[in-house]
Amino acid sequence: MGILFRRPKRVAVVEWGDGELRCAVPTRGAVTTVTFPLTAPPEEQAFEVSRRLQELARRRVLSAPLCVVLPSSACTFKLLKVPVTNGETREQVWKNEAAQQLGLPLAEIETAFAEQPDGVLAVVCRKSFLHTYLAPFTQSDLPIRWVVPSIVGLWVTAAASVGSESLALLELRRSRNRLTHATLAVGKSSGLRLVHSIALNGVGIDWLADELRRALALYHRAFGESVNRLLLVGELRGLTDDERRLLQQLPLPLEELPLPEEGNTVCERVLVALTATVANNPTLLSFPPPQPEPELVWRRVGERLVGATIVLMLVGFFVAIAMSIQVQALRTEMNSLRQVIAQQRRELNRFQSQNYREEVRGLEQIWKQVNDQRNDPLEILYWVSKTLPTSVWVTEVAFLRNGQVVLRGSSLSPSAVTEAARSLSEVQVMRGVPLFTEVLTNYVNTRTEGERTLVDFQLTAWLRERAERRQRQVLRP
Amino acid sequence: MRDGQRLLLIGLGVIALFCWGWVASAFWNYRQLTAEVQRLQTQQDEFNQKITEAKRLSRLYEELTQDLGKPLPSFEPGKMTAKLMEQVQGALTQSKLKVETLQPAAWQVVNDLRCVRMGVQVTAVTTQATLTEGLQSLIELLMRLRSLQPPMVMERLNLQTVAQPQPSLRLQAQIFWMVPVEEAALKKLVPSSRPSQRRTTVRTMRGEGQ
Repeated sequence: MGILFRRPKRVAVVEWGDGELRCAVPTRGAVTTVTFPLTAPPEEQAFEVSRRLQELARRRVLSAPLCVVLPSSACTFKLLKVPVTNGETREQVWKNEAAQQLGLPLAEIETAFAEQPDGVLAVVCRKSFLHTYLAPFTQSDLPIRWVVPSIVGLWVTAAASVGSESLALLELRRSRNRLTHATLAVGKSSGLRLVHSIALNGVGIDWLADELRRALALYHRAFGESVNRLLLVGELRGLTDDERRLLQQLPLPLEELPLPEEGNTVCERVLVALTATVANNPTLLSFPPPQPEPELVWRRVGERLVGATIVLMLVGFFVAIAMSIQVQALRTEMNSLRQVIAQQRRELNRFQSQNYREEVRGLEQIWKQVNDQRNDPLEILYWVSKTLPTSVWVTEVAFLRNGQVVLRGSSLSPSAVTEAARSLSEVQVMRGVPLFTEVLTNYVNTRTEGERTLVDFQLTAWLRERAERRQRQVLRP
Repeated sequence: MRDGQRLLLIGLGVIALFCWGWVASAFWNYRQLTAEVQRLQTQQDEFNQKITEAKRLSRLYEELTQDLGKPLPSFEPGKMTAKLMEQVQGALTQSKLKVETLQPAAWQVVNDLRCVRMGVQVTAVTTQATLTEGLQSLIELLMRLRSLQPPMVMERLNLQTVAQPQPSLRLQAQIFWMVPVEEAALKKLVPSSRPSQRRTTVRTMRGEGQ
């Protein structure tokens, strides 16, 4: 189940030496390889590597966890037969044992161990070499997770593809098309039992063939097994004549170690293979990654502090400028507002000095009284003359205060008076509003004048809008 | 950390501190100014409302004074009474009414309305040949009185037909004239104004009616 949910890991692998810096970096599901030729003299190549790595780090090419590949020729390998000990002290025991068996001073070496069925494989490297080799990486602040000898990584790659038979792996290193190192690793299944690194310091190919044959014979004697297959790291068709002559002298036929297709050269394809191997085996044998020096850490802290302070200063500066501009704008707005308010105050004082409110109040009341329709007899006269029947004639009209209208007159019959009162009460003005709220007949007196009978009458009507309580009693004007 | 780097860090820190102090000061000013501007805007709105109201009152005042006349800076009763009598008499003459009596009433200061109330009592008879013509002349008279400035208020009107010496209409009316007077002039008038006779008159007339 764990395999199903395991996410693919991204590992970058870097190696430098033999006048080249080689990288294999994961990019969008594939692996990209790149090789930089080192043109500086050998003693200054570390600076050139450092410069290249910093450039790659700036471009965020090396952001994945980094595996640095050590040349196998720089390491010494030894299979230790040590008793089982406590977990906390066993590393120290192994280290002492390795130093003792190899005859190297403990203070000058760095060790790495891998537990195998046959014992513990110890890999030893000089501290001075490791420091020089890893210095460009530590100066560039790259996140190193693994420092792996190339033959160890290749062995794990080969063992995964071969099976449980005895196997020998031959790694040849060239410089300017000249063979410089050969490393033979022999073992069974995933257990690496014997590693023999041979430097060809001007010696002949025949001597190298003897060395390899002796190593295979030693393996046979020591472990009681003969090697079944011999794998070559590289391409058989790209070998030089010397190398072909060397391989013909070996007791076994040579096969190619299957490598991925990515990469232009064998070295780049080896790095691509190691990328997958390290990603799939994170507990691979590795030297402890270098820890940054305290001085360097403090320098980095100082640089970051300076950077942060600069950012803080710039942000503060721009914010201050922006705030000051806002403040200035507000000041301008405030001054203009003050001017406007002063002008408004002057205008208001001018109006208030006239005391229009009191004046208008008095004038409005006068106007109201003057325009009161109850004080206007014209409309009353019009409606009275229009409404009264022809058998009624008015001899006196009194228009009193508070909307009281008194009509006196005569008619030919009492019914005409009644008709007059009814007509007056039904008079409507202004959208059906009655003119009078009440029409009252005060008296209807019949009298005879000569042969004619006349009816004297008095009607009192109240206009619609009356402010005061009506007076029933009719007053003679 | 090297000395140069340390010095650079201290220098930059001081500058950053200065910048942020500047920011704090500007922010404090910004807050204060924002509050002040808000207060001023509120004050401006209040003044705007007051000015709008004052302008409305001013416009209303102008309109009212066009109809009622401007308040008099000083009130001279004799001159104003003569003017009133002259106007009423002119209106009666134009309407061809024969004046029987034309008696000015007592003037009265009305403090609430800031005016002086001046009255006149008129008794007149139409001189037209028929009652219809007489009534027409009466209507004309009323319209003339209405168009005077300031308009007159007719408090009482009594129309009566008269048979002798010819059929005619007799008009009895009490007309009042509300003269707006400025407050200062009004204050001077109050102690010397004569007591109102209006209520007394009304009371007397009611007494007659009873």
